[in-house]
Amino acid sequence: MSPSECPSVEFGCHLPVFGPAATRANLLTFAREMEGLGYESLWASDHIVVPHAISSRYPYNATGKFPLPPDATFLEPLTALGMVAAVTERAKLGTTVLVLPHRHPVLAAKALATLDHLSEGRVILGAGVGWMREEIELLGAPFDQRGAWSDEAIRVMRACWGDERTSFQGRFFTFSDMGCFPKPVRGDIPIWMGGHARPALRRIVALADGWHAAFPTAEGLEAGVRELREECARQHRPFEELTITLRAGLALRTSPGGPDRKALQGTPEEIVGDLRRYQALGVSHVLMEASYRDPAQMIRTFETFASDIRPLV
Amino acid sequence: MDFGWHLPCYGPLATRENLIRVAQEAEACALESVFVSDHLALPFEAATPYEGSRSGAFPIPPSASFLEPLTALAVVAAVTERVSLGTTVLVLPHRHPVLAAKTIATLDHLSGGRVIVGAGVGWLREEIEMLGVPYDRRGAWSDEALDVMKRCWADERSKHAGEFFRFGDVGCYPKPVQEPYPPLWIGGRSAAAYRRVARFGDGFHAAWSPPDLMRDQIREVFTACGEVGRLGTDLTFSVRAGFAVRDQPSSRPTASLVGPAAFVIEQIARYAGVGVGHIVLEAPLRSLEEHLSLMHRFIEEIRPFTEDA
Repeated sequence: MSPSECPSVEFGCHLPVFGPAATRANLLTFAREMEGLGYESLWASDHIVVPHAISSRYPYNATGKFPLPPDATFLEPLTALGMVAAVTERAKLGTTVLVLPHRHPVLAAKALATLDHLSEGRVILGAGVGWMREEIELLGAPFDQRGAWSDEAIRVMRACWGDERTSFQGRFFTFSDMGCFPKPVRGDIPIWMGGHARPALRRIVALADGWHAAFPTAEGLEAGVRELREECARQHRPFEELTITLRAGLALRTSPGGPDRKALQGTPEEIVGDLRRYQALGVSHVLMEASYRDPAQMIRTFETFASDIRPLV
Repeated sequence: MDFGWHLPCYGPLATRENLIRVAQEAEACALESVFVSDHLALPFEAATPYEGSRSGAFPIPPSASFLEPLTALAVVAAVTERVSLGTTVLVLPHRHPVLAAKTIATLDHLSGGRVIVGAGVGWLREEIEMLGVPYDRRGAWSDEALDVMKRCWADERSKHAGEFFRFGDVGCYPKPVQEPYPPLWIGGRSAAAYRRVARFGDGFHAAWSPPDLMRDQIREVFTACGEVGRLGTDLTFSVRAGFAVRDQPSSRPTASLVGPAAFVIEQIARYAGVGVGHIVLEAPLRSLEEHLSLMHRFIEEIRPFTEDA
């Protein structure tokens, strides 16, 4: 595909929701400024506690160690997005990702529908099954069955959003004849599932509206898209129905990187190249995360991207 | 006397514009607080009677919009600066206590320390069971949940070992701005509720109690305090009351502040006389304009005459 045949790409920004930058002033200022710069979406992540001892391997860096200390501030994402909803008008509001086992699905469905209602239809549910055993078990979900639990949780949420009278009978959740209102403004909330293992890809094709890849390498993304196409064929679902999205760290550099350079971390030319590659794979939404260490610098990074890089894509 | 306004958080008025406008107007009118309520799903057939109506029927139909309260308060927190943000009441069994503590701490952090946690054990069997909590043990469950929430808010390393919850050594941050945690006002109308106030509460928050009943309840709370060796003089006594200005007082038990302005002023004086320090005004209104005009009538015709009380 040439770039002109590719779908246009939307861009989102990860909000300052953890560490010392996670203050009211930073959150609201950043959200307003990013919307003003034309970014299409704003995102928050989800941890409820950070255990002092973590046995599970963190899947998104080389060390396998969760990068935040137990005493790091980590905002509850739907509360943070509620604040952001009030001071923005147009930007979509997403979770990257909401860890499904952290919340009873009826509560999650209600909070998301409320956020959608009060933001007038702007919510995207990025969702995952989680990886941190201690946190998931603390919240009462069975870690080793979190996949099956999460599949059912998605069905419960969709029932809450879609049915006039909601009933559900499953392995983990059973109830009958309840009213769950407000309904989402658009009738449903798009669900973009994270994960890259085979069960995750099966879940995406069976239950979700899109794939939300977390920090993929170019090869990982390519392999994932290929496997999603195969899985779509197996499940008789048109691949084109899926929205392909990803989250990546953004860092602007002045000199070209070496062979280990990560995607979206480099010179403007390198980043444009990365984005064109994404586009060719069918990626339609890129969520970027810049270093929080200096909130003013974080805003400048996104300003530069908006003014100097985005027009080239 | 402090006053709060119940926000349009359910029914057709529960829109972005109305929620924000009413909250901002409450702040501009120097009301001390705004409050929202908590239902996640309503049964089409309810087995449990509602104590707030004579018939026992819940006055809000199951097909009515009912906003998730902490999400609604987050929206309100972003567009206000000073007004307190309360729940009347957060039904404890609706949320895992660690998640509830995290969400409330986040709201307190982002609002600059403005949260008031009105909390109760709930009454609606179908809703509580739907959320996975044993209805008949919701009192014990809620007591333990309050313990867990306090551990999450106050401790550097939180841990807990109980009947319903068990975990070791986790970090729960942010901590609330208010130290060691936001005011915890316990609701309910039973001996167990008064004991819970004595054991856990910074306040007692009654739903719909007229002044005479409030007097009895406050006495019972002090008795319960005595049983655990607490004076209770630090407690805030708060009531959620139906409010409207009209020619005749209402005979409905939930409508203790409905009537001519002079009657409402007298009733507020009665509340003050029995020790109430905070009233959440809730009016059954049909439009944003009605909310704003009733709020203005309260500020002009009633509040100035309650200051001596």
